[in-house]
Amino acid sequence: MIWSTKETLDREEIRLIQTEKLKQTVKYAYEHVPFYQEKFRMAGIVPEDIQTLSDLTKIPFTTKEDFRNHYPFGLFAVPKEKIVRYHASSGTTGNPTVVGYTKHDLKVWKECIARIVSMAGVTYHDTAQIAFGYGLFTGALGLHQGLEKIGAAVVPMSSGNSNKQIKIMKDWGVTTLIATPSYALHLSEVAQSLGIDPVNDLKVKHGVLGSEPSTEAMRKKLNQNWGMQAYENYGMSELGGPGVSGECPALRGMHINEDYFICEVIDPSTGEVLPEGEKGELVVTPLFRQATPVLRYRTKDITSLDSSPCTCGRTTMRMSKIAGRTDDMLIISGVNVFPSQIEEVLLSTEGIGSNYLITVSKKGYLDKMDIDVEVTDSSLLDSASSLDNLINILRKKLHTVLGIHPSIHLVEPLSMEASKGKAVRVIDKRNSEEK
Amino acid sequence: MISKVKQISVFIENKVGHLAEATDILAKNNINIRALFVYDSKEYAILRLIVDKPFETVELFRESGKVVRIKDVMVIEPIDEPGMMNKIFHLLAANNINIDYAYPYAKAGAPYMLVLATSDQEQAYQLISNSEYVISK
Repeated sequence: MIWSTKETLDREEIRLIQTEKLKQTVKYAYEHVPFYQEKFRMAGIVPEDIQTLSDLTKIPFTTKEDFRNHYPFGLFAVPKEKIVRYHASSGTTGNPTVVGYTKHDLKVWKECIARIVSMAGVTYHDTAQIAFGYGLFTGALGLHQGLEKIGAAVVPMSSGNSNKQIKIMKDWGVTTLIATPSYALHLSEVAQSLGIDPVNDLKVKHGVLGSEPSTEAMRKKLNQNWGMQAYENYGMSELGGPGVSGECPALRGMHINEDYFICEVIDPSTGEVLPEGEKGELVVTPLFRQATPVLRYRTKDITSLDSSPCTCGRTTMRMSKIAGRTDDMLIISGVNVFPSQIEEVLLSTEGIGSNYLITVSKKGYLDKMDIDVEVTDSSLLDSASSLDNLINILRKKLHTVLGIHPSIHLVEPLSMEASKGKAVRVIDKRNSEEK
Repeated sequence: MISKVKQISVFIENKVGHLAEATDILAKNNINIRALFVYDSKEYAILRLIVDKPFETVELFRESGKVVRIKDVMVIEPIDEPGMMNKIFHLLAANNINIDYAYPYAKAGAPYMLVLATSDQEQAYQLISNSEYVISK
């Protein structure tokens, strides 16, 4: 079902809406956020220079660093009285990136999600179980509000407690699953282990999955295991959360909510905008967000754009499945993890060396992170409990910083070949295992 | 009998061949092992050794990149009667000394000898040597 008439406008009409909203957005950001005044001054431009969509390229990019450097509220355009919600995602090091929402922002967010879940075939007849973790993370509450908007019944399960997830799905007749692709696969196996066949014993037929990239092989498996159709969607907290784009039944890319987001694809090394169809880094400008306006946000996600007509009837531009990252960010069960965060914890812990090796793999369908750490302090050998203690300290510290529990392995020094130039710090085995 | 000896601890990963690799160093350099004890967790192991040439051994392990620790422990030879170990343990406990770990030590002709590492090595040594629980020299 097509939720909004805004999804089927002529391309020309879409461009007109975008132009109008872009001008407003630029003016608003400039007038309310000193950070943008400074950026414009440095670039030698004023808001009035932005009159058409092609003028967009004059505006400097905004990065995650900018969010971090202005933690917590330096990029906010409204006083606290106007804020009704905060969300955040983990930063590369130290501070998370914080975004705020006014009532207007929440309304826009709900509208965007309403469209995306409708694309996936979800309606007010459906019961949707949200198996994303609730909290500062935008995924759970984002989907939650949009599903309520279309009148679906929401089951706010949060993540974990898999046996109970299956019981509720079965007993309450859940038809829609909201989760990361890997957790959705895991849940299907949990069901099977409980003697429940998801295809015949459960009613789940829509999967609205996101917050981590997945492959077509994984989708096939998800569809098979659940007897459902899995749809992907895209967003990130700096852009307000999920709601940027989502897949329609044609599965030919994710339709962008273009009246709320302008998407560009750039060459990550030069910053030049690439022609439609070419692969590069996605840059997004949300149109008229009140609390945290963002101009030309560099997502570091790699995709390509396609504005050719879609068989579903929508005219909006589509972005291809995320093909990777331009930085070293890892997505572990939907949680963003930067190796630098891990390094910082390791380097600030006594008794261990400066070399480490992060290995990411799949345990069943779930992501697993292992970290090899060198033992260097011989006084730890006096009792085995001090080594166990070291492991526990590292686990706790890493959990505080990353929000996940990696497995720590103590290894002998120099066993990781640090000498040969830049050491390999991260091995991601997930994709190779899938093939 | 009671005597102070140097114990060497080496960190090794709990993987096939790692123990052999560590003892290779000793064999190649003609170092004799008097006692050996391996604490193992799932992931790693601590190899504890009493050898005839402790300082040389430490150097050799260090050169090969191992994390190695040298520590004073004691070797005791209790009188060969029932209840003697029990008495020694009580003696230490009564003085609030904890036994961190203990393992057997071999010597030709001795019924059994034990390596002891305690929370207070000096006091433990005094207590045991002044007791009548170990064979006198």
